[in-house]
Amino acid sequence: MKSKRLIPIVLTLVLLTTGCWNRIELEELAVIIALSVDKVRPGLYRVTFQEVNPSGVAPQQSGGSGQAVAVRTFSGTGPTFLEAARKASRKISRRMFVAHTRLLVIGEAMAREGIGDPLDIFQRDNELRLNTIMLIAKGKAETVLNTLTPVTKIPALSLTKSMERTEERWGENIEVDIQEVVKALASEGRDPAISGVFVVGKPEEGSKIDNVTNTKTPTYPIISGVAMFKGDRLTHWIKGSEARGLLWIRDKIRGTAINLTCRKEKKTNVVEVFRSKTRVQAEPERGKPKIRITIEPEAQMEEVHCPIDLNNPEEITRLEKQMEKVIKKEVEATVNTAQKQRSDIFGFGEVIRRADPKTWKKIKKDWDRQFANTDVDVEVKALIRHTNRIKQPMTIQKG
Amino acid sequence: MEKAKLDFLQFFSLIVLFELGSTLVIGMGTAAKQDAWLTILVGLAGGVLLFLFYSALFRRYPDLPITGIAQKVLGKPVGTLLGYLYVVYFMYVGARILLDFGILSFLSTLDQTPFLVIMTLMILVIIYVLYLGVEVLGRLGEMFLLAYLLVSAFGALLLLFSGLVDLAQLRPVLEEGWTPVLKTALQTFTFPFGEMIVFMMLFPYLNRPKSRVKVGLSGMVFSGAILCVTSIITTAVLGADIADRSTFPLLTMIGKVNIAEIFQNLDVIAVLILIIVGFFKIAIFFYAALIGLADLTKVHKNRLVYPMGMTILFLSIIIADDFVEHFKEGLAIVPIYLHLPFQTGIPLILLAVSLFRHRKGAAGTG
Amino acid sequence: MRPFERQKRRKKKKGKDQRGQVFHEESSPLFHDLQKNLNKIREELGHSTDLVVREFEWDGERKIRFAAVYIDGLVDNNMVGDFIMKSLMLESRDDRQTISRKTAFDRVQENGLAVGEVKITRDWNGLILSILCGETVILMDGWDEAISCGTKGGEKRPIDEPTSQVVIRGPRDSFTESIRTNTALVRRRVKSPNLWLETMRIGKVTQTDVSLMYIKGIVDEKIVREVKNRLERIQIDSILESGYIEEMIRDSAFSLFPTLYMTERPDVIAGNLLEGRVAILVDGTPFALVVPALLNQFFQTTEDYYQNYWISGFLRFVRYGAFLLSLLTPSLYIAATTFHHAMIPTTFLITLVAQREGIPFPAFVEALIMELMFEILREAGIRLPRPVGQAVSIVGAIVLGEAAVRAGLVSPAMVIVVAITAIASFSAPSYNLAITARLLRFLFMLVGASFGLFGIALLLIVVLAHLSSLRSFGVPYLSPLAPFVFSDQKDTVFRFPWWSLITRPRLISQKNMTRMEKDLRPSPPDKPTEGEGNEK
Repeated sequence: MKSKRLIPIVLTLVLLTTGCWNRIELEELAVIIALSVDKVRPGLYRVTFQEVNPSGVAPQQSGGSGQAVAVRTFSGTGPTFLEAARKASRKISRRMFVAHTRLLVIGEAMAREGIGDPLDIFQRDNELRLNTIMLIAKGKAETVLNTLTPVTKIPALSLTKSMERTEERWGENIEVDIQEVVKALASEGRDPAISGVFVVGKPEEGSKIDNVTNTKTPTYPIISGVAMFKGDRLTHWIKGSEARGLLWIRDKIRGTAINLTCRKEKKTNVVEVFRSKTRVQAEPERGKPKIRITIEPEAQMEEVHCPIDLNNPEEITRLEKQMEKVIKKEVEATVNTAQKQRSDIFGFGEVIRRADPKTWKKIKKDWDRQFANTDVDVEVKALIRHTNRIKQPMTIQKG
Repeated sequence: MEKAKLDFLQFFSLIVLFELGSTLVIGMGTAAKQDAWLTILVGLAGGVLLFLFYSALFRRYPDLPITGIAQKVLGKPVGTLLGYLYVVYFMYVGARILLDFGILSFLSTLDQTPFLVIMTLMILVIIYVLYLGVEVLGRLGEMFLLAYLLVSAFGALLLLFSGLVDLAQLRPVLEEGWTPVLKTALQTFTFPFGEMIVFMMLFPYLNRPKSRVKVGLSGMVFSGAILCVTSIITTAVLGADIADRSTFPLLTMIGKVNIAEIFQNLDVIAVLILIIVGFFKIAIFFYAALIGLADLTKVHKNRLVYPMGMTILFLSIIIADDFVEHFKEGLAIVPIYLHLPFQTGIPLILLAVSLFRHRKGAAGTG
Repeated sequence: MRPFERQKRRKKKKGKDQRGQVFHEESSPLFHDLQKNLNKIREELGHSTDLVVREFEWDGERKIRFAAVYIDGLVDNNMVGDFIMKSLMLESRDDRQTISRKTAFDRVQENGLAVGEVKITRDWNGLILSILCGETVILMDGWDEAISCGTKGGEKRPIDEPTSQVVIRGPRDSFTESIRTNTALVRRRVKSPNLWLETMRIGKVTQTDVSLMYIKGIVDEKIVREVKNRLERIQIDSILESGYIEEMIRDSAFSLFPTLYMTERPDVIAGNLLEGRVAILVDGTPFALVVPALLNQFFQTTEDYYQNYWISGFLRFVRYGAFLLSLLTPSLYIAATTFHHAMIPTTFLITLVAQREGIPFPAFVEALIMELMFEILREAGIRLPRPVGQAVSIVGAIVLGEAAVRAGLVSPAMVIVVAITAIASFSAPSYNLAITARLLRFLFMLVGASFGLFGIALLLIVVLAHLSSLRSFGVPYLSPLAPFVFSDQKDTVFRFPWWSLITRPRLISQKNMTRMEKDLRPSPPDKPTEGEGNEK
């Protein structure tokens, strides 16, 4: 009777003492913070990993030996993602740990061939995350990972942070994570759009520690432009205001600045948008749906250079009208480009599907062509809330 | 039979945790894409209907579990045989869920630990709890339901604050009409709502027999509501496509949370919640089988609990060779060939026979 | 089945010869002869040197010989001198002549002694026991009876401030080693005729007074009976502290969790009695026991009821949190750093990796070493003389920790983890439960190190299952949480204001539930009548 009661206890103890299968001590980890995929030639990937060097980043009390590099990169080449990764892992002493990967950079060549393949492992693997941010590199993705950054020492974090900030304040690039890309790829009525990144300066200098010891960093990665996809292939880059047009439509603008040129002088006023709301609606119209975009930005005066009377409400209304025109032009330009490329990065197809599933069923096979011909109606209702801390611009007295 | 009694709240908690059980893990009705939540409601409606049938049955035999009712209605030999069949059925389903959770922990956190070890530990814990009795199970249920509700409310808030919820993904409703919804609803009806049959074994433990219908219905509706909300959030975060393709949608969803770089990669926590909820589901199936067998063989349950636990463990190992087979069986074969007869068929026959006899008896005397 | 086995065993034991016991199974009556009696007393007590035998005579019509016997130090010397010796020798001198030998005994018993408690003893066991209890026994030549006078006294520790349950607001007295003082301290607080006291002697050798205290009419009789039964079952040679009793009457013999509440504060006892609990006071120790004890009781302090209820509720939350911290912090740290690296925020993970660089031990061993070191330090701090003890713990904690980090033996994060654990465990209001957490912590660390959070979760289920299966004298240990009692939630995690605590805890006692009248919420006496403010 007693021995019977002991069995479970003994069993538990045995399991406890032998069970350490998954255990990995921290110092055995190579913390991977970013990944990049490049195409070497058709069917051959080059995967690069950016590993954090903990002692180069963490504040150490006991003075280390000089300045250590914050990250190191290593690559592997292979016909599949995993094989390339395995080959790369031979170059390091620790176990690759990818759960903290923040950034996936895909080379332009790779993106033009199709980004679908490397994404499977991101969905399947239990360490990789769907909320990893994606970027498309103009040129080789590897060089982006190789470039060291000052201040925010880990380049991947520096990139994701700067992207976040610029999306927030400027609105010309779009923060997209893998899940969004996967959703867009799986959807019939939407194509992905991913921000681009490229390295300014000499790439080979960027990987040296000198790069971060200068006040004026010679080589640095910069986020710019948005890559437009058709299916999983990159087709076209949009830049500047065109990119902002995309953000207007996707209702991603949280803040941006808009230039309004003066009527007479060659000068510009600037309004800063601090809030905006966009609605995209589909209006069923006998088998050929129409898209109506309503944008309602709220703004404040940020710079005033024209001789205008800001105490006059009519003047404000005029500025609002001007602002509406600018935004409308931007948005329409973006829509035009997208329609030309037949790449529905706005998800108009989904809007139609949600509003009118029956029509959508009829047109979805032919959506590519339909999209290019869809009428898009843009309406902007701008509102300038206030003139900020001063009312009138200062008048410079000559004399 | 134990002498213990459970109060309303304890019974309610057990029902809710049981219904949530593996349903949360595997995700329900995702085959109906963005209408998954609708299939849950339809399944719930079916389940409630079925439960009302059950209630008609136990109102006639208030002190008996289903195995006892079977003996009373169909006579000793047939009833006993049915009783044993139910015991085997409960054990089999328990073993399947055990395997579900073995796989879950294996895929999510302990990918290098043999999942036999994980399952062994789990079954040992369940054996211990059942050894302590149903009262302990009830009290644990109470506490864990509270903890579960708090944690999941917190989780929902995290998701909301992450700005991941996009309700537009729920539209269009009924894109393909009612057919896919009803088709998937058959699955949600048997699993988890039809599994209420287990509580036919446990109802004699409720301290107030009159509140049985109340506790059963409120438990089902409450858990149905939770499942529905969870399903809505899952679809709104992941989108119907990813939710359908994920092995464990809830995990994928929680894995997306990232707030201020502090709350991130929380799927381990989600796994823990799921394991705790699953623990109750296995424990309840196991317990139903246990008291069923104890009742049939007249052996004290504490002498059966250990061998039966090991049998369930063994069963769960031999059920399937790989996960794909296991999940396929779970979605295609088990609901039709096991769940339907045991959950709906036999109870209905029992009810019909007992009604018939009653009428004949009444006619005979009158 | 089990209790039956136990009974059998006990029966066997009873048959055994009981040599070596002071008290004989069957007591023999006293002798008539004084000298014989005195000799026997001396013999029984082994001619102990603290035994005082004072013989004297009345020289009346016939000489009557008396003897007063007591043990020095156990009696109140003033009392013996002033009220027994004096009255026997001097007061009744006048009428001695008239007293015959036959009336003398009754006279002495009735009029001759100026003490309160006087009783007659006829057998040896009673005689010896009353001498050992500090009573003064008066024997008279020619009588086979003895008078024992309640002269208990002697040196006692004065009432002091409590040391293990310190409060900021609240009474400052605590129990002492004397049971009489202790019962008085409680009675002083509850001046009710319903405060009943039952005393029994436990311990064949030590003959320790053990008192049950309860308030008749509030307490559940079943619990009182159960406590009495369990106390009567104890067959032990000695009771030196209430801990003996605690281990002999607890519900679950092997549980790590305390199912009896221990306190040295009379106000806690009073409060508990008023909730319908039973107190067990043991002579010779300032620690009294309270049953039934529920888990949430160990997180409450008496102060919770004295100070602002907002802060009381908050502090209770803090204590529950601190308990969980002291139980789980090291195991969670181990689990997170060896299994669930993904959970740790990225930047923190990098810092941790940098810290662990070059540490020779795995995290589990590192934690184990630090925790054990800390336990040693704590023990050293308690055992050493008080001033030195503090120095040792400070030196140990700061210097050792710092040095270990510098030497690269442990990571700074681990030092923080251990420190958090330690501080959290100090905040536990009940020492009993803090001990539990201290031991369980190591088990959690073990499962955390082998299976990560999965193991911790399973162990947590096991611990909670164990807790739900525990009962303290019939009351579920986790109540009012599980089983959930809604009305008792007012005083579980929160402490509602007194005017809302209308009923006593439901599960402790079902009788006399009302604590106070309803609608006693204080409100300002005069509300301005409506419209008054609007005029003008």
